[in-house]
Amino acid sequence: MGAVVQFEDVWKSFGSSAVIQGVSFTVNSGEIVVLLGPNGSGKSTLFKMTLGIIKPDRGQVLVEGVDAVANPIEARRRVGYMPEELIVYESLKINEYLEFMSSVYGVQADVLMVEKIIDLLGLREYAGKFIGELSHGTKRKVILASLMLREPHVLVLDEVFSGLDPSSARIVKTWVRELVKRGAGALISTHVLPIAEAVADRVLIIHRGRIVSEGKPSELKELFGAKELEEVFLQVTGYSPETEKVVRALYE
Amino acid sequence: MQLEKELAKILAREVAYRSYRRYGTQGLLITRRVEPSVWRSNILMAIILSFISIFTGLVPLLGVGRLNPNVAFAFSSVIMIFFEALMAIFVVTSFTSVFMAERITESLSILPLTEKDVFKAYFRALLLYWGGLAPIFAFIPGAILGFVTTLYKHMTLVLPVLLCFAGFLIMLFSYSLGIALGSYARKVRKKVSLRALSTIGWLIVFAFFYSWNYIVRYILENITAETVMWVSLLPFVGIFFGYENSYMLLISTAETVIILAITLKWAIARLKVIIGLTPITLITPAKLPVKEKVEVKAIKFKVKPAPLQFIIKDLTLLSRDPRRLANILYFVVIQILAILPVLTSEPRKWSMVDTMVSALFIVMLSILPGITVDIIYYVEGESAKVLYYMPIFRRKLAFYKAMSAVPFALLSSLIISAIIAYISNNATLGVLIFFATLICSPFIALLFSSITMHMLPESPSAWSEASVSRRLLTIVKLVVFIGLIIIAIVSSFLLIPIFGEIAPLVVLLAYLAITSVAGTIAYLSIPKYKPL
Repeated sequence: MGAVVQFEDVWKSFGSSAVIQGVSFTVNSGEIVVLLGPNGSGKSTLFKMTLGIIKPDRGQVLVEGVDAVANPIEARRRVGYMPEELIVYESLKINEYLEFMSSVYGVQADVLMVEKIIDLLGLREYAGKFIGELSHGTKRKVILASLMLREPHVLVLDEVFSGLDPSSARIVKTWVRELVKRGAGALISTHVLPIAEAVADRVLIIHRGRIVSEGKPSELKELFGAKELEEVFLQVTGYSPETEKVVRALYE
Repeated sequence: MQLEKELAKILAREVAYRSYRRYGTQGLLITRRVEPSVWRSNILMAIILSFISIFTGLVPLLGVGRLNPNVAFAFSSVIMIFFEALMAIFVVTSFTSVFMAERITESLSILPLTEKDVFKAYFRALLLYWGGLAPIFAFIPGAILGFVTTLYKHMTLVLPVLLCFAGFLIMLFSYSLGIALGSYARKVRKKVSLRALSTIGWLIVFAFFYSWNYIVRYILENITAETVMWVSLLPFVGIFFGYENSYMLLISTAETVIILAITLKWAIARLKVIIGLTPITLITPAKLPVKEKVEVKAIKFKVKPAPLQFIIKDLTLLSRDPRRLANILYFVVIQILAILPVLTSEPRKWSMVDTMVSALFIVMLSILPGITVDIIYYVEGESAKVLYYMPIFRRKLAFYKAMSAVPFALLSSLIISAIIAYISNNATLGVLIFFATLICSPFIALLFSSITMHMLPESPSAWSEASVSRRLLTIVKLVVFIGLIIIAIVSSFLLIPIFGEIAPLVVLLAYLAITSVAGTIAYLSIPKYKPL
């Protein structure tokens, strides 16, 4: 199984703020890697690097061997990207959006496949509406539908479960698993730790731009003597039990 | 009072920011960076309207034309009232539509504010911090000039008094209409018929903005006794002509009262929608309709080749943004209007001098996509960020955008070529002009599309007028346009004596050579493999 995404000693600063500091890791074909980290820890920055949107100051980001800085267009063709911020054409209808995305990525999907995906995600009743009128979760499903049509070999999903109801989240998990079984590799970020635990083959925890922990969920729990992944997360990201005392004493 | 004032300032700033993000425009002199002030928000429009008002009000005082001062002042008053209404509707509609479309009330609904608080803050923001006071300057300077005119000319004092009266009534009407129209902003996006109406509305606004001096001149030069009779029957302005005739006065006043009452009622009803902080479920406890079954709609899905799909996407976005569509259609309409007077003449033999005119027409027609191609970029708005994540090269996108602008040029070219063919009694000439536009306009579009592409941000951003240097773009447009006109005129003069009958063809070839070289150079200046 080859690497689908490789970060090699990646560094990035915005002004005087060092956002990514020497990050190196690999996502292999047939593997789901979940990237966990507090807000502002650099997860989205790393994800955008796979598309060449953000260029590292130092180091290399490879997507199926393609340098994302030197050849961002080729990297974008290979990556199925779900941005955290829901950016879609709000004035288009779902089918118009899917037609456009399919055309850009050269997808040869037929109407039957589209109908299958639309029904699977429960989007049919919104078919006549503009995407801008849909709820947060439904907009995410529209982006998902465009990714499902493409069947990408590299999945980079930033906060993919945010705003999704449990049944839609289950569909996404199954879809990702199925693609991975077929040889794809997935890099996912989420703040929902039970989901991370359920889907991850490997978990990476990033804190202040550095990978502070890495391993299978069970290995990490054993290593830190924790029952839940949440405990591991809190320990490695420097959460102090004193914080809880401060919260409790807030209105005293 | 302090709360309302602060809230009003916040609302005005928020609307300014959202408007800037969407259209690259803000309220006049209102920016999100500076503290809103009554003075800054109203002064510029007040000066422009005062200028129009003084210019129009001077006509009876200086005795321009053959009219007696009473009739001249009455017509001047109509023009002033008209501009007041136009500006007031524009100001109120633009504010309210952004307020509605961006769901600004929703962010207030979580705060402990009453509808009365928001109502007062909305009007305060609109009147004081969005230029809502300025429209009164469309008639006040003119009315003052009217009072001065009564001292020097044989003009009744009733007319300036009536102007003040009508001015306030029209203000009330325009505000009500603007509020009502602006409140449909969200629905406009959904309904084709409302989008069409909105496009026509914006088209009228643009047409009057750009052509007001021609309108004033046309009206003043074409007044007849019959015109006076008809105008005296109109609401709001009929009183200027029918004040001595009780029958006409009655009709005009009755119309005014009815229209005002209907508009006011409409505006009040819509204000509840604009400002309503109470969730709809609480104010309408009626039984909710139960959907018997979910309608199964067939999904239309057909992937076209990328260039065509991009053009379809751009035209679809444009058709759902009436303001931007009207901005493009204005140029189509203005070209057709420019040639309409020619239609009144009979078909005649085409003279060689007309070669120059036809060359100018080719310039005028093919420049259209160049003038409007940047709008095809701005229509992306917030969604432009999507493009940054896609495997698209900047150069290719510049090409697609250029092609999206061409259909509008072909539309006006088709109509104008037909008119020229009819007037000249020369079908070949019509066909020649059409094909000239067909060939030249993509190059001109490519030229300006490439220039716009160079100005766009490197990192994922929304695109609007604020994304590019509009001053630079306008200067480039003017230079290219003037340059092409000069080339067309000079080459015509030079070529007619040399080439005789085939001069138009030579002009066309020369023009094609210049535009194709300029368009191609600009296009090639975008690095071939540079991603968005």
